[in-house]
Amino acid sequence: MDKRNKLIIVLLIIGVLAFCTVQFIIIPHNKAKQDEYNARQNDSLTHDIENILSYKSAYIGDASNNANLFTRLPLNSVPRKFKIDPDDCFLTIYYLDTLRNIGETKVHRDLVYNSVSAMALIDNLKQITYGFSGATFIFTREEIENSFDHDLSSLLNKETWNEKVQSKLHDSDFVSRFYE
Amino acid sequence: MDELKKYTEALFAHQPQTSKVQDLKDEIYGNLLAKKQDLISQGYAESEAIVKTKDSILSVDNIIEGNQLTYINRFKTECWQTLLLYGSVLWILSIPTIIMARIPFSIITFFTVIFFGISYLNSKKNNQDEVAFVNGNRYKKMSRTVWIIWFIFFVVSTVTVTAVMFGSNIWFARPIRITGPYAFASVAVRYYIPAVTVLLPIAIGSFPKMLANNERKD
Repeated sequence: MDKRNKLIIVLLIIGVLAFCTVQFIIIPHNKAKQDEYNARQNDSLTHDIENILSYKSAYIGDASNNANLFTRLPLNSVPRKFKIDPDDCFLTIYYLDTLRNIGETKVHRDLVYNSVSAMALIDNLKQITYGFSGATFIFTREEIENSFDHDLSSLLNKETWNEKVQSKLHDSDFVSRFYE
Repeated sequence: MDELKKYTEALFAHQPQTSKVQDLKDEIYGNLLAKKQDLISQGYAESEAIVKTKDSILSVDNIIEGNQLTYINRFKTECWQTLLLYGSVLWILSIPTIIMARIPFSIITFFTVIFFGISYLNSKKNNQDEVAFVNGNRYKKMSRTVWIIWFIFFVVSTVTVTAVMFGSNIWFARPIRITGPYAFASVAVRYYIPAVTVLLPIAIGSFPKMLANNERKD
């Protein structure tokens, strides 16, 4: 009995130490890493393309796929509503905020990035319209393909994406061409 | 119902209602009736014969199959101690699951340890030399039942997890992506939790052996 009691006490001490290690060291460390990762996902220059590869779809009609995809793209913290036009293969996203609040430079860069991402992943998506309070931006597949690559889906791996998409977005002149 | 029948029923009131016990009950009742008739034929009045007959058998505990005279509180204390021991191991094994946001499992095991601990300490306060008849077959049956329940639980949860995690590939045409150690761990933890609960049937499965260890031999 006494031996077993000692063993129980040792186990309880191990349990308390393990609990404290997990709760006060591992979880805060993981949370900090996750917060840093999430912050990077909200910026088109640091976004991780591998985070959205599972949303590849042949058709624009899958509403939950569209909503989940834009939850993992930059501007994901801005509340939004979707409208799908499956006949014309158009997607409209209404962001419920103003350009001024979010930051015009960021919005311009992120919308280009989101459009390339969505068109690379959704095969029959022809056009995306972004609506903000007081501003509307339209991106067509033709325009995106001319600026990046005629086979957008071939860009969908980390190295190619960094080289042919993200690196171009550092250039503000390149981004501003979409808004002329 | 005659008085000896009632008495026989009372003798077996706390025994399991199996066919073997029923046969034994019928046999005891027959013996009591024969003894009463014998005493009456020896000249005893019926009421006196009934009293003497009842006095001849005061308990059937020692003739029930599987019953053993046991240090009952020692046995119970050892059962609670074993549950506390295995519960503590289960709690430790549940702690890593907190990282994967499986907090309820760890909370449940923690409170289970507290419950087992309190029960163990309470049981220790009782007189450890008290003896009583305990049926070993009942504990063997309980052990088997707990193993069967656990096995069903394990199979159902494993099949469910597999269907939800990997079947969605068929249902939604979207394959599961294990992109790194965290993604692997979040899948593995769903199998890990049902698997580690095997400690509970192992703990309960040791009760029949503990019962044998706590038998009063003299």
